[in-house]
This record gives sequence, C-alpha cells and structure tokens, in this order.
Amino acid sequence: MNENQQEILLSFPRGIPGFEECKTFKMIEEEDSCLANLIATENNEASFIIFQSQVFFPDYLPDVELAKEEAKILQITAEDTLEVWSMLTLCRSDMSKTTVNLRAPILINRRTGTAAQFILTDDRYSSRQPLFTGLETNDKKEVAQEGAVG
Amino acid sequence: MLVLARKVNEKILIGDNIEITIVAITGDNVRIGIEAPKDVKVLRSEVYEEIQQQNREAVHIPDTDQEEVKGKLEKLLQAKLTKEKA
Repeated sequence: MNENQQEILLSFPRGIPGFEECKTFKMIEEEDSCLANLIATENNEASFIIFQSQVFFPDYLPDVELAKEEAKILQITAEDTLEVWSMLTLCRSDMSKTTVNLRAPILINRRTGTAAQFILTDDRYSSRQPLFTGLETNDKKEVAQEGAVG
Repeated sequence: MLVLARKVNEKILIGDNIEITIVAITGDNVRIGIEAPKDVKVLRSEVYEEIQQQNREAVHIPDTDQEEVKGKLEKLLQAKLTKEKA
C-alpha cells in the first residue's frame, strides 16, 4: 500500500456469484483513479479489479431501480447515493481486449459499508462488454495511414 | 416440486400478485408471460450461471506487475476519454 491508497472494508451479505461464501472484501482505491482492487478478506483467490463504469458509460444506469430485497441488503435510506462499479476482465497479453461486466454491476453504499453485485434483468447489457473496441480500430487506422505516407 | 399441466393461454397464480401465462408452444419451445410486482426479480437461471463464470474469469490476483498492469489500463482509459471528448 502506498500513501495515495486508501482501504475500506465492505460487507457483501450475499457474497458474489461464483464466490458466494466470500462475505467481506477490502476495497483498495487510489487517488484520482477510477480503478480499485476488490479482494476477499478470507480468500485470496477472490480478487478483482473494478472500475467506476459511469465515468466511461455516462448513460449507464441513470437511476438504479432496485428490488425491495436488494434495497434491504444495501441498507438504503433516502439520503444514500449508491456508487456503481463494474468488474473488469483483463487480458494480460493484450490490455485493449479488456471487457467490463455491465450486466452485473457492483453497487456500494459507502455510508453503511455494504455492497452487492446485482444482475440486471435488462438483456441489453453485456457481461463482457469490450471496453476499448473503438479505440483499438482507431489506433490501427492511424498506423495504416502512417504506413501509407511513409 | 409441484408439477402442473397447462395449455396455451392458461395461467398459474403464485401468491397474490404473480401471474404466469403460457403464451405459446412451438416444438420444444415454450413462451411464458410473467406478471409480477416490480420488486420481484425475474431472471433466466442461465444468466446467474453466466455471471458466476464471468466472475471466475475476472479473477485478477495482484502480482509484482500490479502497478504496471494498472498503469497500462489507466493509460488506455485516459486515451479513450480524451478521444471521446474530441
């Protein structure tokens, strides 16, 4: 941990799909970064990189409509603002192939320290949405153009 | 498990406010209509399995190259943001 990092503990009362037994995670955030590490306290194998999806997808989930049960899990009161984070799946060999899970956002109530990964019923959202698709093709185009000039 | 036989357009009631209608049957395909209050979550069960699988694939254990990996990612994200603003 360096000095720009801060760590908070989050309780996931239901665990997360695939890791249902993991109920407590530490979230390590860095200043000025929209990325964070999410690591289960009792299982080192449950470790993820999450990011604030609304920074890159401004139209994503403008109002989160929660089921009653879900609101109860997150202990929401009227003054709470939920943070919307999403799990990233990195491709170490080619980072531009990173995908983001928009189908199952991680919602965090920072006031109470509770969080949950909820699955949206809306089929439009993908669990493996490419994050940099447009960027990759643009880069390739530029390279091709430079090549043609040279 | 309770097993009921239903024909097209016949319904099943669950509790006071959930109504299930058999809309159409084509071969081994059954279309089902579900009317339920907004706060009841209705999901195809394979969607939960898909998310389980995706989460397992998303596991990223911090390694010695953690800073480098995050740095690369930050750079790509910044580039994307700049491009979108342009």
